[in-house]
Order: sequence, then structure tokens, then C-alpha cells
Amino acid sequence: MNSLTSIIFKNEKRRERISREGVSGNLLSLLSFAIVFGSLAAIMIYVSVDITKRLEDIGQTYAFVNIMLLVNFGILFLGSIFQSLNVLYFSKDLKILLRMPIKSRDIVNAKILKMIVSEYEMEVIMLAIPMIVYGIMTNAGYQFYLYIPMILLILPIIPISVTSILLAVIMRFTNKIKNKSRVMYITIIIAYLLLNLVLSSVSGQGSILALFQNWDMKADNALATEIANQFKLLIPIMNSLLHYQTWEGVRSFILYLVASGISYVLAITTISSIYLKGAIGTTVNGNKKMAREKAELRIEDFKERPYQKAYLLKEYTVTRRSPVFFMQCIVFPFAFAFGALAIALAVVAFARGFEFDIWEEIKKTLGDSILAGAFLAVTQVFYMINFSSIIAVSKEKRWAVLSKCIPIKLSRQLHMKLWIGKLSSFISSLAVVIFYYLCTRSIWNAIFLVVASFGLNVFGEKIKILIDLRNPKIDWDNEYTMLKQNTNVMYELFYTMLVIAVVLLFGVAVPNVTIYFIVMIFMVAIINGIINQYIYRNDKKIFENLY
Amino acid sequence: MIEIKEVTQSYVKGKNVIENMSLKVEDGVVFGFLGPNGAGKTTTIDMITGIVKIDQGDIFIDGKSITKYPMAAKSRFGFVPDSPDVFEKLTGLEYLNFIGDVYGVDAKTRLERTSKLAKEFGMYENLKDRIQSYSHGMKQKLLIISVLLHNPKNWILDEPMTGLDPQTSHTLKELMKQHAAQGNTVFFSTHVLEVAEKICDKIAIIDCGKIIFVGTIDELHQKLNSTESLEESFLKMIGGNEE
Repeated sequence: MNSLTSIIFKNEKRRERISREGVSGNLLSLLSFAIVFGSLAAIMIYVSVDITKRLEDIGQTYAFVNIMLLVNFGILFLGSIFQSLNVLYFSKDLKILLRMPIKSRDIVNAKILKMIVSEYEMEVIMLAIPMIVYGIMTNAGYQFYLYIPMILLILPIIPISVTSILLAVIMRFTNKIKNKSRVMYITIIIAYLLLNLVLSSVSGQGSILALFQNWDMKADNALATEIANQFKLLIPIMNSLLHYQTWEGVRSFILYLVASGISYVLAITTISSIYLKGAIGTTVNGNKKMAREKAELRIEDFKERPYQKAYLLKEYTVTRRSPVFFMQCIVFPFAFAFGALAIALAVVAFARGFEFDIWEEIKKTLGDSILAGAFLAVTQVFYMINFSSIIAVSKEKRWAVLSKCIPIKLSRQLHMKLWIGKLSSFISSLAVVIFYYLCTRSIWNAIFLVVASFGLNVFGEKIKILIDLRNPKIDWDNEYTMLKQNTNVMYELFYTMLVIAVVLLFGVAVPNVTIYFIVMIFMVAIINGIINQYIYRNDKKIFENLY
Repeated sequence: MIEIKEVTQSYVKGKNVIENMSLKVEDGVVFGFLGPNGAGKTTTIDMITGIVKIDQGDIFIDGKSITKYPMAAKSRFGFVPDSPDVFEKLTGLEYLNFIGDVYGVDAKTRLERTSKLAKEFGMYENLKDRIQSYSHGMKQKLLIISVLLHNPKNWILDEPMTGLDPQTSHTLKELMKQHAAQGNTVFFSTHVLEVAEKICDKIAIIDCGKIIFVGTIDELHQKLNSTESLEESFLKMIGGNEE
């Protein structure tokens, strides 16, 4: 079992393609990775300091620990559905592993360990850094810092174990469906519903709305208590950090550790007993025996299309039939943007009940062009979670290499690969524009915002695909791992942060909102023109690393 | 016609994978490209097809430079790679339609050629299934059909027999011979020397990035004063080169 686990880990680490530039290229990659990681860490430090200060001001300091744990726990649970499904059931290595004399228990164990370890990178940024900042700001004792790495290590165990068990049970039945994309969609939907049921049955109401309704704003640290009440599953781990100086902390940590251990053992035992029946189904070539008349080729089966249309259709079909890509590139950006719009409008309406006009307050607090810059920045935040273009090449696996052989100019192919990203980011930015219009009631400014954000997004799409082409990840085991362990995403985050800083600073520098938008649109048009020229003239060089 | 002119290629600076290679593949021949593993066969094919940048020299497809006029050159060949990686989420038919649209094949021709080739390759009843459900050999067959669909003058095939069943392998060999007999070019790499012996009009042997022999199989035997099989001659040639 140990050797299998170690092979799976080594395979993952060594998948990076050998750089053509040799040692100097690797050093450069390492340096740019360090810059990107450092920038993200700096952002997390800034955000953590700001939130901790604000919570201190209203006497809710402890809530920071609970909020961060809740956020991490939520991300782990949601992400682990995709991850478990892909790693356990739709991973390329299963075709080899299932044919070898290895017990299913060992395969399950190695894969679950791999999933747990793969979460640590995200936790370092999302959990360890904020906790260290909090510890420094609140003068926490050394014991607090001892708990952080231990919690980081065990936090992903329960989310991954629970979701993996649920998925194994579901896959036991859904894998009978021949269409594998359908299996994934159905399994994901059932898993989300079941997960919601399981979590709400063991974790109180688990509702953010109830949290705000029940929170006694006047009582010290009542928010921390209310978060614990709403999400009971997290109480032991919250207590271990909040009561780090007492035995209560030790007791709570041990309790969570034991719960994690039990869930892990339970996951391994349960999943191994039903694993083969689910996994074998996903690796078998499910050729449908079609009725003769369905198989018969007719002239209607061959529709002629202009090659541009055919290319775009191919891009869309490949995305739509890959559940992970479809969710990450189309559904999530859209749902996130319009979900945020709905929450924002609800908050405005809620505040009106207390005769507090949020629109006016926003306009008073932020100057006109700073407000415009802030909204433009928000469009970039939504755009940041849209992975369409950062994986536009990598998602095609090795066919991406073959695309260099077809007689369509590479620069043209590059532009055609961006249309899904352009469209989905345009739709998500509309949610921000609607809110901006309701706030300012200026149709012209709203139109300016649409144009500026679209122009910025189009430019960003090109930057993203250039990042993908610089280091394409075309040798992947499964869709989710390709997305999650794609270091190119870090560069994308760095780029977006840079753009946000520029649009905000520009808002401060240019007080007149009309001039702000006109100059911004003009600048965006120029940089788009420049990058188009660059792509057109250097397309062969841009695609050089794709081989 | 495929012409490679003084081509050098290196993935890492100072370490040439292909060194000053020149080769001319005339029209009307089936040309076999032989060599041991790691000799540079796939890299050469990747350069011919525009996948890998050429560091020095140039390659011409029917007189069109792949570096200067890539679109004109690419529209003149069809390529079957050594590993059949196609869009797994598309159906075989969707993939063929995509290729038909890219190369401008009209619907009637698509129907005729697809029906004929799919029947010959035993793929007719699978074309409406997703490619992800295909076996390795079926994916290989689909890629071959997709190349033959737009019927390019030059066929370039990297290890095309890998994963094919005997019947399909036989059909492909016949198609290769027919295509060359019509005055077109078939350039393919292979490890299977029996295949080369049976169908090649000419062969080139590559070792350590250098062409060490170009000519007919008879010429190879003459050069080595050998009356043995191609396999024996090939091993002598490679062995001699190593010494």
C-alpha cells in the first residue's frame, strides 16, 4: 500500500513537463511562482488584518477564527465532491490500477490520502496565514501557533471522507448509466442534496440567514457563539483554537482528531467494500449497441458549417459535456455573480426596513469615479473565478497539440478558444452593472461600465490563454485535478489583483466619472489592440511550448 | 512531395535531437521511416507537421514551406499521430464533421467517404457514440478516417499500425499503396519491419538524429552485401552505426 501511495504522489509531482529552457527556465518558473504565492499571501495578510480590526471594533474578535474555519470547511466540502468523483472514479490511472493485483482498500486509501494532501496548499493561504495574522494581532500564546499546523493537517479529513462515502454509495447505482457525463452530472446533483441533508442533520441549522437573525449584536463575541451554534460540526475545532490555553482546547482538539480518524477509517472500509462495482463501470468502454436505423448515416448527419462556427461549436460541446469544466467555466461564475446580486439587493431592502439607504451611503462614502472603479473591480472579482480561458488549451489534452496541424492560423484558433470565457464573463459582469445602475440611476454610466468591464475581460481572457500556453497542462488524469493543481490559476489570480489595484487607483486619480470611464475605455481598447497585434505576429512562438 | 532541407532541432540547447537532416520524399511512393526508439522519428514528423519549431533549415510540403507558409503547407497533408488523442467528449461523427468543416469537404462527399471508410474499418455502427467509449484501436481508426475524409495529397502517419486489428491493418496498407499509385505521397514511421518490407517503395533509416540510409530495400541489401531479411539488414545498419 505504501508503495502505491508513494507512486501516486510521485506521479502527480513529476507530471510537470520538462522545460525547454533547462535549469534557468526552472529557476525562472520557481521565481515567478514565489512572486505569485507571495502576492497572494500579502493579500490574505491585508484582508486578515482588516477583518480582525473591524471585528475588534465591534467586540467580536473571536468570530474571526470561526469565520475562517467555516469558510475553509465550506470550500473543502464543496470542492471535495468534484475531487472525490474525479480522483476515485474518473481518473486515468484506474485503467491500470484496477487490472493489477492491488486490493481495492489500498487503492482507496492511496487516493483519499492524495486528496487530503492536495488540500494543504490551499489551506496554507486560506487558513494558516489568516490564523497567524490573528494570533499576532491578538497576542496569542505559543500554544495557539502549535494548533495551527495540526488543524491544517486534519481539517480536510472529515469533508473528504464524508463526501467520498456519499459518492461511493451513489456511484454504486449511477455508474450503470452508459453516458459518463450524465453519470457525473447526476452523481454531483445527488451528492450535493445528500450532503446538505447529512450536514444539516449533524450541524444545527447551518444557515447564514439564521445566523444574522439570531446574532445578538450587543453581546461580546456573540457572533462567534452564533456561528458555532449554526455549524455544530465545527465546535470542537473552533474551541481548540479559541481555548488554546486551557484543557478545553486540548480536549476539543482530541475530540476532533478522533472524529476525523473515525470518519477516515469508516470511509476506507465503506468505500472499499463497494468501490470495484462503481469504479469498474467507469473504466469499461460503454459501447452502446445501437439500433441499426440509428447507426445508419444520412446526409442530414453531415451539416456543412463555416470552420469558425464548427470550431466554436466544438469548444462549447467539449465544455458542456465535461461536468467539471461546465460548472467551473459557466455555471459557477454565473451563479456566483447573480447570487451575489440577489444577496446585495436583499441587504439593501433589509436596510430600508431600518430606514437606512445603502445606495446613498455608498455614494456618500465613495466618490463618483472611485465608486465606478470599485464596481469595475467587482466585475474583475467575478471574472477571477471564471476558469474558461486559463484552461482553454489544457482542457483539450493532447489534441491541443494536433490543433497545430490543422490549416487554421494559430492566432485565429487562440481567439476562437476564448469565446466561452468572453460570453460567461460578460453575463456575470451584467449582475454588477445592474447593481451599479440601481445605485447611480445613470444609464450612460451603466453603459460605460458594461463596455469598460467587457473590454477589460476580453483583454484578461487573452492574458489567461497566454498563461495557459506558456505552460500547458495537457497530461492530466482527471478534469478536477487538472483544474485544482493547475499552478497557472495562481498567475491568473495575481493578474486580476493587479488589474483591481490599477482600476481603483485610477478611480482615485481621476475624480470625474465620465472622464474616468472614457479614458478607461480608451486605454482598454489600446491594450487590446496591442495584445491582438502581439498574438497575430507571434502566434508560432506563443504555441511553441505546446508539443 | 515532402522535402526536408538541412534541418536541425534541439529541445535543450547544445543537444541536437535532429542534426542537419535532408530528405526528399517523391510523389508516387510509399516511404517508410525506420529507426530504433528515441532515434528522432516522431520529432521529424512533428517538424514536418508544424507541431515542433524547426531550429535550422526548412521543410516543404509540395513546395510550400511549413515555416513561411504554414497554412498552405498544412492544407496539403493529413496527419495520423502515434497516440490517438481526440476530443473524447465528441462523438466520432461530430469529430468527422469538425474535420470536414475545417478542410471544407462538402456534405455529400463526407457522407460517401465516411460511409465507405467506416464500413471498411468496421466503425460504421460506432460513429454516433462518444469517442470516450472507443478502444485505442477504434480511436486510431477514427483518426485515419478523418485524414482520408479530406483526401490530402500527402499522408503522414506516425506508427499507424499500432493498435489496429489485422483486417484493418491490411485495409490501411492497401489504401496506402493505392494512394501512392495515384501519384500521391505516403510517409510513415514504423517499428514493424515486415510492414515496411511489404509496402514501402523507399525507406530511410534514422539513428541518433541522423539519416544513415535512404533508398530501396534492395539498395540496402546491396549496400550491406546481404541477402537476408530487412530485419537483419536493419539491425546490421543500426549496429554498424553504433560502432
